[in-house]
Amino acid sequence: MSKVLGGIWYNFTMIYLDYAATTPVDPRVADLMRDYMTLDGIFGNAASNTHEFGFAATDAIETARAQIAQSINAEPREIIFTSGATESDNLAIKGLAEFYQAQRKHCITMATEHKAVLDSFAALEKKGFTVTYLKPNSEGLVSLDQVAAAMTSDTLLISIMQVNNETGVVQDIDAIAQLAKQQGVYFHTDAAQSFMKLPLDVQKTPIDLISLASHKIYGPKGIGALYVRQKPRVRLAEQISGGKHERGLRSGTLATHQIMGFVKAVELMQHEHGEQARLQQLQTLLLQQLTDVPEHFINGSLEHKIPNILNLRFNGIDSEALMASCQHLAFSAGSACTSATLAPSHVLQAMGLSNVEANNSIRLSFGRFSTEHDILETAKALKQQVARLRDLSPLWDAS
Amino acid sequence: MNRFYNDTITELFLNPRHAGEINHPLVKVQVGHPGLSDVIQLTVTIKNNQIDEIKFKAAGRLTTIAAAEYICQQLQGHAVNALPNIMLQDIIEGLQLPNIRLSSAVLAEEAAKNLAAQIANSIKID
Repeated sequence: MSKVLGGIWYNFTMIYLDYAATTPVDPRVADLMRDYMTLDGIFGNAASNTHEFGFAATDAIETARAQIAQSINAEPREIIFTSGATESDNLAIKGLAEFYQAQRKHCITMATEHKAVLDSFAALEKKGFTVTYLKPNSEGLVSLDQVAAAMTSDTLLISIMQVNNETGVVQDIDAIAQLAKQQGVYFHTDAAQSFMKLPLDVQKTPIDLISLASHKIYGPKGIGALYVRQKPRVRLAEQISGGKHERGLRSGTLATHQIMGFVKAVELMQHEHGEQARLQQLQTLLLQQLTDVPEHFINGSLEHKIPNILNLRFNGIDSEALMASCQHLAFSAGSACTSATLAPSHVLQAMGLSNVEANNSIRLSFGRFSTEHDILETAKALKQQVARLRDLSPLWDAS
Repeated sequence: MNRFYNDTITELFLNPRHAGEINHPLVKVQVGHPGLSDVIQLTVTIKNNQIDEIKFKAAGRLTTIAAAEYICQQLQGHAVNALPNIMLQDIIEGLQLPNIRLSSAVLAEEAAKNLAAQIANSIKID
C-alpha cells in the first residue's frame, strides 16, 4: 500500500520490522478510541466535576486505571498516567531524587539504558548527584554482584530496565529489586519493552517505580504510566506543574481517548494466548534461514532475551548500506536512535563491540502483524544483499 | 529509501555499472584503512591510450560505494594523458553528498588521484 500524505508519497508496501520502535495501533484499539473524542462520545474533561460529561470521563479513566493496575497486580492509586515511558522515566528518576536529595545522592544505572533514563541521570549529575553506570558483559547482562558492589551508604536509587530496547536482553530485575529492598534503596525499572510480554507483579517483586508505555503494545502513542508504590509509600517531586492532576504528581488534562486506547491494548494483550510462542517461532525461523550466512552473530544473550527483538551483526557490512539495499524492509540500525549524528549504538559499545562492529549491526523486531511470509522474505533479502555487499567489498575477498 | 540520501546516490549505490575487479589490470590502487575507515579499490586497463575498462570494489558506507561508482563513470573512456582532475568538490556536487558523509568524497578523491598518478607512472615506464 502506498499513500500520499501531506503532498508526499510514502511507500507502505515495506515489511515492517521495527516493532521495538513502535507498533501499529490495533484496529480494535483505534475503533474504541473514537468513542472518547466526539460530541456523541465521552469527550469531557475528567477534571470537570460539575456535569455529566466530566463524570463520565472520570468514570472511564478510573476503570482504565484499575485495569492497568491489575495487569501488574498493583492498586489503582499507584498508577499515574503520563505521556509515555520517557516522561515516566523522567518523573521517576528526577522526581525521586529531588524529593530525597537531602538524604542520599548516589544512584546506580546501566550504560545500556534508554536515553530517557541516561539523560535524566545526566541532569541529576549537574545537580550534584553521583551516578554509577554499570557495564554489562558481552551478552548484555549485568550481574547481581556488580550491582551489590556499586552500592554505598549514600545510594538512593537503582534504575535498571527489564528488557533492552536494542537487543531484547532481559535483566534479572526480580533479584535486583530484592537486593535493593534489603539495602533500603529505591528501585525503578523502565518496562517499556517488557510490559505485557514478561510477568510483572509488584506483590512478588519489590519494585518501587515502573515506567510503562502504550505504543509498544499496539496502543496509541502519547500515553503511558508510572507505577508508584504506596506501601511503603514512595514520594516524588512533581515535574510538571499545573492543576494538581494525578495526585499532584503530574498536572495536565487527562487524555481520555489515549487512556482508553492504552487500556484496550492491555486487555488485548491479556487475551492473546500463544502470541509469545508464535514470536519465538518466527525468531527461530529467521535464525534458521540465516544459518548459512558466513560471519553473522547475535548481539546479546539469545537465552535471556525476548523473542521479538533480534540484534544481528554481519561482519563487513555497514548497517546503513544494508538498510538501503533492502528497500522493502523497514528495520533500524545501531545508529538509528541518533541518526542525525550517526553515532554507533551506546548499547552495543557498552557490551564491548568496536565502532565497526556496532556499525555492522541491525535491529529486527517483529510483532502481532508479522507473518511467516514476512520472515521468509526478510531472510531472503538479507541473505541476497549481504552477499551482494560482500561481493562489492575488496576486504571480503581477503578474509 | 533513507531520506538522508538522494536519488543520485541511491541509483549509483544500487545499480553500479563498474562494480567488480579486473583480473589483469594495468593499475590497481586501494585507499582507506581496513577496520578504521571505508575502503575503495580501483582496477584499470588501458587501450589506445584510453581507459578501456575501470572497475571498483568498495567497503563501508553506501555513500562510499556510490562515490566509487561515480569516479569510475567520470574516468571511463578518457585519454590517459588528459585524465580529468577529479576534485573533492566535484564529487560532493556530483553526488549532492550530505555533509555528514563528506569522508566518502575525501576517500574517492584520494582513490582518483592515486589512480591518475599510478597511470602516469606506468605510462612513463612503458
